[in-house]
Amino acid sequence: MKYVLLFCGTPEDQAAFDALSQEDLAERYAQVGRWFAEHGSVIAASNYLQPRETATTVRLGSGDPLVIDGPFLEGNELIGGYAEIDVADLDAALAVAKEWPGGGAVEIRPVVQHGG
Amino acid sequence: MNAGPVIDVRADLARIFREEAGGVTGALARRTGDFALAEECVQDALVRALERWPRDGVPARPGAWLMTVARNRALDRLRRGRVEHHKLLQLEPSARRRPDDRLEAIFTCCHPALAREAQLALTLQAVCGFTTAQVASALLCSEAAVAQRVSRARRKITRAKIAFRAPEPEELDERLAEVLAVVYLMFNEGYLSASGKQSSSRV
Repeated sequence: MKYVLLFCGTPEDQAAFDALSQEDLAERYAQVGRWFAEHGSVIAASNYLQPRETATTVRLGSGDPLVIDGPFLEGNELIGGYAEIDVADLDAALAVAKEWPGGGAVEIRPVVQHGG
Repeated sequence: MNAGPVIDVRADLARIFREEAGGVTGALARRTGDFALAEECVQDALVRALERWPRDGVPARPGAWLMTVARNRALDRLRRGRVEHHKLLQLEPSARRRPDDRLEAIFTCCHPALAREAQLALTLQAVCGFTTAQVASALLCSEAAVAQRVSRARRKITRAKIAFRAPEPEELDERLAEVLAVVYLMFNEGYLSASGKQSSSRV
């Protein structure tokens, strides 16, 4: 069963991250690196995303597509990255998400399975 | 609901459903690996019993009767969707009961990925054998609201693949807390609605 983990956070989470000292930042990256290494066998794909100020949204509807500077999701929540994992069930996905060392919140979205 | 001619079976019905529904749901879910399917089929069996028992009398082994009807219902549904063939094979021999089937069912209904109100409605229905009308009456909300809440929870169990099993020892504390919270709420609702003459005798 495939799930996408969305690494989310609030502006407060972002501010706390930005305030990390050089040393703490290095430690955080090491922790994240260990998380990826530890769960490498179930991670199918993953990426960090550039911050929300870099987002562009195309709104489709009647008429011509409308290009907007900014993210689609309203509010201040941020999505900093994602990982696609392939595990037995939701409990296994929860176990992986609970160990994420990056703080904030992790949203778990099941991927639609075809033919079964 | 239409009262029908035989009223004295009703107390038995309510008691039997409460005793048997969880175990039957559990046995069926374990065999098919599909909790939502099992839960729906047991509800179908309860409806069948509501129609039959007042007329024909309560069967000698009501649990086995419900199991047979629910299993046949599951077979019908699975035969219709051929994709589910592997589940069909698991059902064929005979879905036997195990002592801890209810345990797995209650842990699935009280999974922390489900909202508390969904846990409560689902547990009352799948483990305690309440009909939608009884759940609505116990929780003081409309049948439509209960039906929607339960079907959303069933969909999540299937789509997000919430496993049908009791938790591992290391998860037990957290998972048990969820179950106890639901049991506590059930007790409260039962107590309150009993004093208000609201609920469980209404089948």
